[in-house]
Amino acid sequence: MDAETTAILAVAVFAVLSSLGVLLARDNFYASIYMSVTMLLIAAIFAILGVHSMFVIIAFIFVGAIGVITVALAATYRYLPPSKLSNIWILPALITAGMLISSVYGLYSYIKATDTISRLAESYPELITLLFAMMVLMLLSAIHMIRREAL
Amino acid sequence: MIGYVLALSVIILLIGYLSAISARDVVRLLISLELMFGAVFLSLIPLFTTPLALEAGGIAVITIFTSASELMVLIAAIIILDRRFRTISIDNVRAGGDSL
Repeated sequence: MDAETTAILAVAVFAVLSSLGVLLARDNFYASIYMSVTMLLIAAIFAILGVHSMFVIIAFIFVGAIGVITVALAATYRYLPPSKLSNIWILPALITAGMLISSVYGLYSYIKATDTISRLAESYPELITLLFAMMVLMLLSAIHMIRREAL
Repeated sequence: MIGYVLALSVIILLIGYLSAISARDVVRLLISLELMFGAVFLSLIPLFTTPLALEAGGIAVITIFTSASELMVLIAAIIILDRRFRTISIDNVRAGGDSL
């Protein structure tokens, strides 16, 4: 494993941890801070891969403008009751995450880095699994929203 | 390496989606949407490994600017919602004035 892959893996671990902070933070202000950190880490992945223009655009426009406005908005509405993760959705989310991760792993074992897009389009079983998992998640969330509205 | 990036993109997209469906106010929804847009930006990385890297840059710039303007519209909608209803709870959001 070369240094570039190691750096990407390290940044990816911190990005997942900070995005979990968005999910688990009870205060909107801290959630927006974690979101900004995640976006900066995503920009760092672009920088590691040598796409410096994307790093500049994400860091200065997306985080610098939109992210700062979001932090200010979240700080303004800080007094509101924080959202809470529904425990009912942990099991469907884990199942869907497993399906998505397995499909991505299948894609990774199938494709090469040089000709990614054309081979991605040819890998129909993994694509269908990915789209099916997303569709099931959306339908379940729609049913959940309607049931919550009816209560 | 591309597989790691795509896996990270899917994980962040899933976390953002889970945060969005469990949101109780529109600010948390906005934060979740920004997280999901970040996952979309990550999924653009394989485009840069193709010979069409210049076109990939154009697609990425259009994606980022479109999502940024979409989020600005959502921020304006949140401010209007707060001015009109004096709350940003997601239960007060109705599609076209009708309830589901």
